[in-house]
Amino acid sequence: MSTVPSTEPADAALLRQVADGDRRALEQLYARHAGWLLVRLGRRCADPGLVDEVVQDTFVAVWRSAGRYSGRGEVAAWIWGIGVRRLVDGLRRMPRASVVAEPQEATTEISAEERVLLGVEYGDLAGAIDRLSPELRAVVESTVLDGLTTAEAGRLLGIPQGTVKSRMKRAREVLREELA
Amino acid sequence: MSWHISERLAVAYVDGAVDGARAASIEAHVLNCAACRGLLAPAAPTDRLAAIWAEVEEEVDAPRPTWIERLLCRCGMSAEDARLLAAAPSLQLSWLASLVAVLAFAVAAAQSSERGALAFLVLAPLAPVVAVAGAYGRGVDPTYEVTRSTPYPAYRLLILRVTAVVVVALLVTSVLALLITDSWVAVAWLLPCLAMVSLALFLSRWIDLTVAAVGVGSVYVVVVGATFATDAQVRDLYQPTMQLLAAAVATACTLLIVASPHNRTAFRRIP
Amino acid sequence: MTTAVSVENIRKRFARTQALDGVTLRLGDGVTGLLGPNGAGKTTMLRILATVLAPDDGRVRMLGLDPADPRERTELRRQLGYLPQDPGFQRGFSVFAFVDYMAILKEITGTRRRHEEVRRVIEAVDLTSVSGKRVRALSGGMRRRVALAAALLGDPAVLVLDEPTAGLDPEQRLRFRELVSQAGEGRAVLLSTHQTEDVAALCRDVVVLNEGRVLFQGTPTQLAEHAQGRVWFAGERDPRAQIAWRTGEGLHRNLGAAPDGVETVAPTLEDGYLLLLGTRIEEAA
Repeated sequence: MSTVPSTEPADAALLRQVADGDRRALEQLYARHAGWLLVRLGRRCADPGLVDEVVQDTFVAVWRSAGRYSGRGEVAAWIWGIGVRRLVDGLRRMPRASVVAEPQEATTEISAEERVLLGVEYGDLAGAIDRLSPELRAVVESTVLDGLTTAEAGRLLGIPQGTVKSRMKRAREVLREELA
Repeated sequence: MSWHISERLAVAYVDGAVDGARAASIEAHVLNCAACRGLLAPAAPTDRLAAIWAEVEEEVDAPRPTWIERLLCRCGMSAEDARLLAAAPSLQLSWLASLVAVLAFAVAAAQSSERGALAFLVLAPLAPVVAVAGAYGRGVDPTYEVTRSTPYPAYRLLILRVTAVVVVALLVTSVLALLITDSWVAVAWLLPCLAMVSLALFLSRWIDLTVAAVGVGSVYVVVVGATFATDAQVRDLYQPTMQLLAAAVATACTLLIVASPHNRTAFRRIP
Repeated sequence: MTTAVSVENIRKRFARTQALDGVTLRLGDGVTGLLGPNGAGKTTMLRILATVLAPDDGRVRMLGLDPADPRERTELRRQLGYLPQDPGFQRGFSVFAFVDYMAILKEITGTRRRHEEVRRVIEAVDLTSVSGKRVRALSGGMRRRVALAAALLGDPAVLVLDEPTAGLDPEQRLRFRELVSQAGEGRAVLLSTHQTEDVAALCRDVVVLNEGRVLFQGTPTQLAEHAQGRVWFAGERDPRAQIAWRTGEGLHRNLGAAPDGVETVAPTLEDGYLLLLGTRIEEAA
């Protein structure tokens, strides 16, 4: 497993350079973050053209608003916040195209060990979330994991805000039962 | 952090073969772990990433067109010519602001008294001439020397810049002239102005544009000054006979400039 | 070595000064230094080669083209890069905007292609990290590099640099020399300087100019050899020396006709250059 060499600047330092107009620093941030952003957005929207556009807009926004990064929290999280909101805006403009990527059959064998390790991230919750129906899970992921408001989650999933709220309520009930 | 993604898992995730809480775990983890982000990066679609970066670069680097450039492009000029024009020193806001300030002062003077009207009559024709002096030339363009070593025709640059500058200066002066109640004063400055500008442009083929414009303007000032000193009527300098003379000079110079084969060749771009 | 630039019997007069008085030169690939004191005619020569000035007399051929002919002059300018003394920049332009402006003047077609070329040269002079900054806000050394980037647009076959290291501190000068050295690969570079260290560090060939005339054309080694056997150290300034000065260690370096029995030292480029100029001054006196 590779470790990031300590001689390389931290993301926050790079972002400060970007705020100062350093184009090379933007390139480095792009090299670090565009990959995971592209994949993660791609799992929420099946239209690769839109996803590409959103990634592009996100990094242009990073360039223009680097000075507004508060310094608190991970830069990656800040970038995700910009990206997912742009995706939501993009989907709002073409509601028909909003398709949340259908989860594929797990084709790779995941070892029992990995299963346990993964579960560490969410603990018992992981299994319980897995057992939720796809609609409930999608709502939980977009609000809890992606950090969207119920309105934004509605736009992302293509459902009314009211439905998001009621599904969240249902999901909480189910999880509470499971973990009790 | 006690666990990290393996390379195999990273590839599986990127391929869409991981779902549910497992994917959610990966995503939450990646947000906080630079090392695992480093694992994901090579697995992500590099072609798309390279194409997106080319677009980001372009958007970030490309200089934003100024209002002059946008205006010129809308009038049908190419973006490149517009950029070269807009770099004319006398189209900078500071020059235009000083121009407007001086003329506004003259307009105010014209409103207050008969003598004031004369002030406008004398100053207004000079405004575009001064603007032309600042359009192109060794003394005003900081990149003059290196520009002359480029393939772009220098004469074309000069003509285009002067045209843009004159149009803007004439517009500004005309708009301010509209505020003057004395309708004759509001119009009588135009022909002398055109005569001076076209004369300076005509001379620029042989001497530096700034020198030509300043020279022509100085002669005008001397003539006005002499008229004033000898107690003759300055107003007489602008009466119909003189207007006709000015029109003749303007027409002659313009025709000579446009018809000259040397100028036509110098203006054209050589492929 | 193919001759990229050939100049024959060039004359140029300004008012009462004969700036160039029958200069003949041949330049090939690699870096050639034009060495000479102030007023020697270096800038005038470079301006003629940059097609910014026309000579009164004589023949110029660059890349087989004649700058006296308008059509060939334009073609030549497409393959030429010029860095003048004291380069100027428009107010408010960023590095990218300035180099892009120059790229338009160099008639690089296609917006995308032009921008890529601009990025390439900015990267070549290592200024990518400040490409969005205003040029006038940068240090003198960086501004010189911006001007060099503009000169490198279009990958010209001939580069003309007028005192590119003047006024730079040693670190900036070193960086600039590296850039010029890289630029010299595969093209003809002519740079003027009055510092012999620049020539010693960079140039394959050197031309010494004084009062509008060529005193020497050859390699730096040959120029140094001009002072062979004519440099010695002494505790005092030797009255028999043509030129002498006190070194840091307290000794005196003497140049000229060495007296018998005195041990001479290996000459440097500067020694050769000074003696060459000194000889000239002697003759004029």
